[in-house]
Amino acid sequence: MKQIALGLLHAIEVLGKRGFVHGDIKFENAFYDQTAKKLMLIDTGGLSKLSKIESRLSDTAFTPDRGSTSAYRIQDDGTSGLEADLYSVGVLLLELSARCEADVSTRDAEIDKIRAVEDLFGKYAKATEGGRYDPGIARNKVWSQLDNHYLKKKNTPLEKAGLRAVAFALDMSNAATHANKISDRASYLAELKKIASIIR
Amino acid sequence: MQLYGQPKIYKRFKDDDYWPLGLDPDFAVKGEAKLLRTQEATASFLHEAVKKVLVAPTHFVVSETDAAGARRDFIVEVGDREFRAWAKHRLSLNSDPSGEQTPGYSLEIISVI
Repeated sequence: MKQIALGLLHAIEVLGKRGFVHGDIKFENAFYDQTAKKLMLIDTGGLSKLSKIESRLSDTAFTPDRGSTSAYRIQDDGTSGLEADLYSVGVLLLELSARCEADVSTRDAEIDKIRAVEDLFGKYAKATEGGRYDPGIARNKVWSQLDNHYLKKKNTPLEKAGLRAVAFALDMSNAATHANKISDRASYLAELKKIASIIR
Repeated sequence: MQLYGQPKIYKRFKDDDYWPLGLDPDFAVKGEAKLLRTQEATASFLHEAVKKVLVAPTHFVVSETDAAGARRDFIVEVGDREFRAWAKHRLSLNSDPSGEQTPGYSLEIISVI
């Protein structure tokens, strides 16, 4: 599981360094070769070049045209860039953690746990206030729910890494201006390394 | 499906969607034809380093409709600039000197392999 988690982080780091955003990171789009110990992402349908996103950000918020899956999506009506991939990876890491802990002999418990994580993010990442998405409110709701229902019980390295990924992505999306987000590419890459070091 | 004896995955877009190709609107200003980067065509702009972590399509299936309405389908290698060069050539042949596309002509990615 650690290899998968590190592979995911490495994949979005490589994409990010080249200025690409995958845009649809989820379990179905991540393939792990156990022999080669290598993770590959598939599906280029949501792939975007960051410069293109930046140019769109200059006059309007950009939402991927398609492909992005709701439980893994940072928000529906706002900016999507590097932070969107990091957020998706954060959700995936939490799911991985849930799968790691689940007893394979009790399939229902495993499925319930995964559903709980998916519900949490699908529901609260899209929190609204007066019909309008507010990243700050969403972040607070995500944190309080995690604290109440999930983190107090377990706190594995994968969970810590997943939470850090999600928190960082939400912080970036909460930046005051679009320019702030774009200039944060270096800190995004640095954060990926920190998250990977937690898992290692 | 098989392509040149190799097993391949053929992927049609959801809802039979398609992705039109076109030349950059700055064509006349820059003086050189440039393919407009759209979401699905982005796979043809990938750097080799990215392909180490991302499985990208090897071919696009492209449908061309001429001004008279006749349609032809092509399987074009994505490769390193091959697709862009091919698409630019087809679009340039069917555009006026300012880059304006011939009325009725279209070039669209309809699926990937």
